[in-house]
Amino acid sequence: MTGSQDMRCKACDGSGLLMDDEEWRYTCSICNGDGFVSKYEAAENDIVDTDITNRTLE
Amino acid sequence: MQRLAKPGKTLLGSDSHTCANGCMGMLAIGAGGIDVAMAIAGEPYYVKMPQIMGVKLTGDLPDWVSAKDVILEMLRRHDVKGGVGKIIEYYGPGLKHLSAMDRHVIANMGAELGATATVFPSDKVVKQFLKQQGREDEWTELTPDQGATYDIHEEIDLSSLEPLIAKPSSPGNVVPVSELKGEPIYQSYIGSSANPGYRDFAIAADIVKGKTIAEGLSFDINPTSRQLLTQLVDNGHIASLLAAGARMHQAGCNGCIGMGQAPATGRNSLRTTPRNFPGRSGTKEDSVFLCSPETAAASALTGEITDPRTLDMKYPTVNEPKSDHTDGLLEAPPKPSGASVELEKGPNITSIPNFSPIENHFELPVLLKMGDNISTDEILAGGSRVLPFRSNIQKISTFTFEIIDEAYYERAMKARDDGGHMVVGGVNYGQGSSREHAALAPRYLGLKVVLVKDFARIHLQNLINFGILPLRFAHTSDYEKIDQGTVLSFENVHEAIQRSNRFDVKIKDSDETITVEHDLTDRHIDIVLAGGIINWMKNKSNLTS
Repeated sequence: MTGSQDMRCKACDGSGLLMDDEEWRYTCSICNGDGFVSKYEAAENDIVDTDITNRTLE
Repeated sequence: MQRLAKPGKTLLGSDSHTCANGCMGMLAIGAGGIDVAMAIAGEPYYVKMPQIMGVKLTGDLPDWVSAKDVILEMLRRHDVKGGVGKIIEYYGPGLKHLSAMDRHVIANMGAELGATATVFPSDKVVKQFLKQQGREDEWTELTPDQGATYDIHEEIDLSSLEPLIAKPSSPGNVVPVSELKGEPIYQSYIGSSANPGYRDFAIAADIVKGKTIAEGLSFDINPTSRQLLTQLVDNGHIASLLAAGARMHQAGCNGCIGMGQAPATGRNSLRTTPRNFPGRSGTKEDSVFLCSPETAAASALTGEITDPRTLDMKYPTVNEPKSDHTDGLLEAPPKPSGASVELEKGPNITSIPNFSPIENHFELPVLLKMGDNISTDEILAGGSRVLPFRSNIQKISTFTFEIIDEAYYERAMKARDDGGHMVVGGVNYGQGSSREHAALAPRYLGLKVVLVKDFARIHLQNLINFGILPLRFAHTSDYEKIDQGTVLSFENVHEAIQRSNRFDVKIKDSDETITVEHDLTDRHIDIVLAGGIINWMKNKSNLTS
């Protein structure tokens, strides 16, 4: 159920998952995987490393 | 590996597990799409010289312990960043006990160590593999020089290994299988590039042959090629798997990248796949363990994580069949000359437009001012709404920066007609996924300059590749002088970026200037001035044709 304070995450369209350029799934970094972005939630910009082959390191 | 890999050759591929082909004595590296395209066009691939980690293998694998446990041991010791900036070279007397496919298993997950590449020698083992593939004439010997030295030394006694397992949610989170004995599982998955060989499937089939898998468990079999599937059918292994209760899937990546077979939320899934980062399986809150086919098959029988050494049976012996199938490729190879080939494109495949080179004098409005750690997901998220349009630049650009500002697209399209725009950001701009569209889409919308406190390395390269000038504030306090709507004037940019890595930019309608810096090499400068790497490549071709 969508509350007035929460919005469906545009990035993942509510699925909680995004894909990298190889179609590997990963947890949506915008909503942290729950599919919704609350306007009261502070944006968390976690730093993500990538390796020399252009891949995300986790 | 079966049809194309050749000892002594270099291989650049757009899949991160391209490195698996190091098993054949190749220097095989995964890279971004544009790098691969440039290599196809004859350009060299540039990489900072890695350190070489020499891993000496001694002893022999005990029963029930296989090649997957070797690479899991490497991950246990070095974790997911332990191979960054390194090429891993395996050598030593233990090598003779590892088949070519065993070496593929080990080289494949060098990607999970973060290694640039993994290399095995091309020896009699590789020759034997090529002979089985009907390609013996493609073998050449390639071994380390006598007395070769390495930057970093490592040693693994294969005899000392035991079955290992990576716990959720990292390939580096490795423990002995025996420590997790009894944990219930919902799914057991055989396949992927991490365990792709005949032996890997045959051993699983022999373990479950004549038995039935645990009730309520999904035992998923994902063959890795048509050739392999045919061999498994011919030798009765598919029948054994099906009779035990397995579900057969077509050859492909499938559930490994979340394309099907997604496990139930929070229910344990044992997989022979290479990655178990959160969400990879296609389920947000997944619980994926990585293990060998022996462990996966044993656990499928019991319904819980099981050390295969505790099974009351003799360790199966698998003999590799001779391959007389050459139908691995469904289509005929490409013709020697592609000039007459007509490309048929669907409605969502459009051409990348020609981008003009950056002008020498120009003024640009700041359409967005952003904070720190802006990720490529915020620039252009790779979700199910967006990715269907990744070959349609006109359509995909409508999603650019929408997470940050829904009105950006409209403003950018208006500004494009007036000469384009720029954006401003904080530290670590462009971090996260490497997707090139995070540079290509804004470029299409007229983005010409990105001015930030600093860049994430891969996105910086993508900006250069698409002709966007990447600049940093020489004094981070100048970030406060700019707002959305500020217009900056750039004069003599061509000369400025070639003469020095630092120059001044004027704030229009004020007396203020901002000092900016760049970290462009001479090659990068040539690419940016040409309007991107595609233009640069075309210009080079015109000069030499």
